[in-house]
Amino acid sequence: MNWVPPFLMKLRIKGRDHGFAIWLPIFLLWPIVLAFLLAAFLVMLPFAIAGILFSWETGWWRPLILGPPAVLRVCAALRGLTVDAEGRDGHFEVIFR
Amino acid sequence: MAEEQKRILQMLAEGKITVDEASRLLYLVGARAEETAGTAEATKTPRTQAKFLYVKVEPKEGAGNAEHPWRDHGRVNVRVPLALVRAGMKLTALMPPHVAEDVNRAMKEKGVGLDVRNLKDEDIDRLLAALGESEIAVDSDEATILVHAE
Repeated sequence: MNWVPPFLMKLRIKGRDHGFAIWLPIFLLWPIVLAFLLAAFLVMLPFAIAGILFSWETGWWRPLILGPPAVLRVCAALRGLTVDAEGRDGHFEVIFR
Repeated sequence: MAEEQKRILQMLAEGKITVDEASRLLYLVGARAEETAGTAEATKTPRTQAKFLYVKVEPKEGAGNAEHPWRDHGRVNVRVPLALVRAGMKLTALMPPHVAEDVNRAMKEKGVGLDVRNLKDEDIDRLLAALGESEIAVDSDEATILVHAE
């Protein structure tokens, strides 16, 4: 299982008159995101525990516990995703590497 | 397993158990052997070799008219990593029970007997392997649509 998120993202948007293409070094954001997630985890932990206890019978605790790792897994699996759409009004392309 | 069957037959011969009991025991031993074989088979299921799912929509030149301007919809080329499909399918585990029950019921009505909350890696691998072996090609007046895994 791959838990490494994408390193780079290429975004290309081209309209009728203007357009731009940019490679975003996502790996530079990793430390910031990691620190943010850690802080959010510590702050939200008591609320999450309370939420889990209150929602135990309804089953809504599942997203609270399983959600964060599942979202992280989806983010990591983005590597290799390419969306390239071209229409009358422009061209849109996004690539995750 | 053959050893267990022999022992059951021996116990029957010695009169320690009745024919009915022997029959029941042999059935249970057989069922367990099948279950073990099934588990071994499931663990042996190879992961699909395909890495990506490709979706291509190519509009045809000159197609469409003022009422249905398909030509203006353009071209779409998407490459989705199968790891993303796998991770996305795993998100179904987040469903609360009553939502999952509704989904399961709706899928069963359509003839799909899957429990969306308990999708195992083997189930997903089997689905993706089937996807890797198939190719969907739609050739209409307006566009060519191709979905395949590689």
